[in-house]
Amino acid sequence: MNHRQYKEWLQLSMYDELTAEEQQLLEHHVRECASCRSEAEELNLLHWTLQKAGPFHVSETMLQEARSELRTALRTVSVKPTMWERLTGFAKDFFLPNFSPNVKMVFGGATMLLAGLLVGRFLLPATSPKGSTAARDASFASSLEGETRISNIRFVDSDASDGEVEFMFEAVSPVHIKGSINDARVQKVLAHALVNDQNPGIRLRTVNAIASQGEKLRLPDREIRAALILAVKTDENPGVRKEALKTLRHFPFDEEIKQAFLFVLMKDKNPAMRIEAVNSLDSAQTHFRDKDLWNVLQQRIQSDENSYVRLRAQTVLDEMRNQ
Amino acid sequence: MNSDEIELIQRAKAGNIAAFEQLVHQHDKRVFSIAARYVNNAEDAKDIYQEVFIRVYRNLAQFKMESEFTTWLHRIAVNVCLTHRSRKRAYAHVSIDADDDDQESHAMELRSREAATDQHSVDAEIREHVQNALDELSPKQRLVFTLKHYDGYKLREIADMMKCTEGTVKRYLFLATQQLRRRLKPVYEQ
Repeated sequence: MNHRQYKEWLQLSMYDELTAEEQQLLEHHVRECASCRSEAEELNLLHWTLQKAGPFHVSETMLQEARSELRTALRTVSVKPTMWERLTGFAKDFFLPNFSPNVKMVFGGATMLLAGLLVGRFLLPATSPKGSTAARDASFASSLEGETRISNIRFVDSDASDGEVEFMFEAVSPVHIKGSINDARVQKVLAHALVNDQNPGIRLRTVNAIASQGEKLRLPDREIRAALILAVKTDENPGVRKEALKTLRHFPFDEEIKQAFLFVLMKDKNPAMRIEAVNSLDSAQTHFRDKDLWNVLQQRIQSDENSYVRLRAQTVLDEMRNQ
Repeated sequence: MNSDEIELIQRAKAGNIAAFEQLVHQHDKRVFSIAARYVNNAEDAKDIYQEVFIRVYRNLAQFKMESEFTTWLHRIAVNVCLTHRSRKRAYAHVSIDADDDDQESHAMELRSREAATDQHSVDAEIREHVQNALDELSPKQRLVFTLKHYDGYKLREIADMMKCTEGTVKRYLFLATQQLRRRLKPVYEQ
């Protein structure tokens, strides 16, 4: 065994990727080899440095934002196969039912290139959209009982000559909840309404509901906090954004809330929001050596179109200097 | 896969969006974590996250249940990471080294005070060096390194995700470690 092998083992040993026997051999070798001991020390220093830097911290707010953006994106995504997928799929299944997937893929593609040139799309059979088998779900029948409202019916197959029809629809049932603001289910619904409800009036009432009960929130719910941060940053309605920002002031000030306020101060097009943000940062008394705040304030002083925002930013910056 | 997950996947395949969301919520923390540690910023991580789950949504019908769902999902995540092009849209901070002299001297004073007294500042500096070093790795080296070092995957799991041999993964890991050592040596020898 040469040094190169042992040096590779040293790295793998750091990640617990050696067998017990390999580990033993390595330890025995390192005891006797100065070069490998030095290598091990250097690797330890590297790992210490990486440990010191730490991994990127993933917060609940980021995840909630990602989920919300995905939900919006999915509304516009079609799962219908493309014309090409339908063509190649047809060719593969028709000509090569028993061959390996790779052969089928190559042959299917080649065949359909030729076929496409010859016949184009005119000979394609009509296909039906996916997502229609929900109608076969036995549990679905029970969901239509009571006060369920049915809307947006889309027929996939309205021809009943074969005894079956196929369609999709949306079913909505009313749910009545009365409970403590600290109830996890209540908080979940409020967070959902704040992020997802289409009606800005409902979103505003949701923020106000959270704000009015703010002091009774024994342990501020992470989902609500994440929803408020998301609303501050992305809600299209300035009233909702402003109330969400004010409500966030009741929460313990931390890095995520600071970043949300800075985001508003930097990005919000509404000057009233930027003023609220600078006031919130001022009243939160962030550390005077906070580089992020320092940078954003300087940027606002130089480029904000609103004179009051510039003035407030200058005042806070002066306070920071005098501290 | 347990029977609950199989049922959930089948419902999602049938077009049930609520089932799909439930499926996403069961697995998305891992995906987000892989993406975030690979790109080291939230905005690009969100882009990758969205692209991964849109691909899952579009291709779920082709998932044959012959492998674990997580294996299939993580393969997609790895592919999206490797082909991702950073938007680098994090808001640009104005440098603390401002134009006017007064501001500059104040900033320098702040910096020197921080360097002397604030451990956080030292950590931030190390973080910056580490991030720059990671940015210089090739996409595959960086992905293997972050999956191994930060997310703690076994080499065979990474090989499975990247559809390559364990030996290839080891090679990427060794090359990444060598390059990081070269790049970070001045930092840890300080």
